[in-house]
Amino acid sequence: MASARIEAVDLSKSFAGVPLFTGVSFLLDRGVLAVTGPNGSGKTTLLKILAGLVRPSGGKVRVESEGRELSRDERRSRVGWSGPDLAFYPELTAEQNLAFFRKAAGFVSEPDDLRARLAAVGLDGSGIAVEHFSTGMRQRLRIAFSFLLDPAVVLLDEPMAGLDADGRQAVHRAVASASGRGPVVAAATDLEDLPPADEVLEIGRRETGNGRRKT
Amino acid sequence: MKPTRLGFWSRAWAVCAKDAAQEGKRRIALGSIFFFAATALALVSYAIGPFGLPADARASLDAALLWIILFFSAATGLPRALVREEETGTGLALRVVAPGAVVIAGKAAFNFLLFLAIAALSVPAFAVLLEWRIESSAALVAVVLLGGLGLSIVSTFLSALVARAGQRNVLFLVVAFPLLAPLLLPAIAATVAASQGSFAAAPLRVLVAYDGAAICAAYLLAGAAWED
Repeated sequence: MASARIEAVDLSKSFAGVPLFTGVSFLLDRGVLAVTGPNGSGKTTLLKILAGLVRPSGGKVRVESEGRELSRDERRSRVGWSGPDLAFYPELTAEQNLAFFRKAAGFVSEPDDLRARLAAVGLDGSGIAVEHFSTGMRQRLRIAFSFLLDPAVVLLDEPMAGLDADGRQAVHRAVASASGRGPVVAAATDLEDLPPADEVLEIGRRETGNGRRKT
Repeated sequence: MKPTRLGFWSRAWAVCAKDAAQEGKRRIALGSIFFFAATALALVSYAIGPFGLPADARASLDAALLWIILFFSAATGLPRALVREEETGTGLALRVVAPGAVVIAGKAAFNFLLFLAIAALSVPAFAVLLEWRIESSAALVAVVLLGGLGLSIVSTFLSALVARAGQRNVLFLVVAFPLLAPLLLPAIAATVAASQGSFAAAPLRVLVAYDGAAICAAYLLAGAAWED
């Protein structure tokens, strides 16, 4: 993972004219930023905006890696994202899913490497199709997906959802390793459901200038 | 050392191969397409077969019926390409890793292979059931390839456009008709000529131009259709 930074500049998002959040700004070059807030406050939308999956209503996201700003296309392979609505091909195994996503992203896919990535989140490379996975196994696969392309910036939405103690430990290890090299942004309703954070950003619904950063 | 990156076509081929692997396990598109094609063929041969129409009228009727069967068989399965990604929620993961042009190229390649499989079974069955004589097989192959390519590209692109809309199946057919009519009309004309033993240059040129325009439009607009 190369040196990287992610900057949100006065981000806002509204749906049908109703503001979800406004004035969210932060700059992070390493460590963990926890994003918290009540249900419907826009945490998931904020992370999707940071990942380039949703356009903001206002403001800008800047992602830099190795000293230069990345284009939207470059961000695909340099920003890892996972969220609760991330789904996988049910007929395929976890390894087949990861192999496909790596190839579609333009990276060579080695079976040993994929098995190691699955093992890191407590999944084996067995031939069980994802449609037979439990909720916790699917969440582990989401975590593996977010680190699949060795991203410079990692965005994790509800990373602990549905995970047992072993799964939470796996997330802690992955985040600790990633945050030593680059920025990690993790979102959940409660701070207890997130890995240890260096900074906290609270967002609340329908308030102006509601991005509050605690250090 | 930076890892070697795969090129556009390798990535598109990964999308195509994944769709083939999924279809190999579920056979939903194949099943529905072949069931529709078989039903349509049986009904058409039963209804039209006994009539002794003049040769010219029969050639035009057969060509039109063949393309109606191919079009509606394809319309049964080809839009599934990207609609299914939205229905299963996998479209989001696909958007994370691959740009629209890669996804649409891969899906269009799979749809083209699917169309060729439909044609490989439907055209000989059509010829047998309706006693349809083809004087120039090479011309017919050219028409089917060019027509199938355009049909696959436009269907895939429209599938990307309507994937996140409500009533997407109805919407697909409504939007597809005006866009595919300029493809189907020369395809039918070239098929009539092929059945009579000639290589109809004008309609084939129209098909080549249509395919070229479809490829350019799909490539340029892929991002807007699939990602935004």
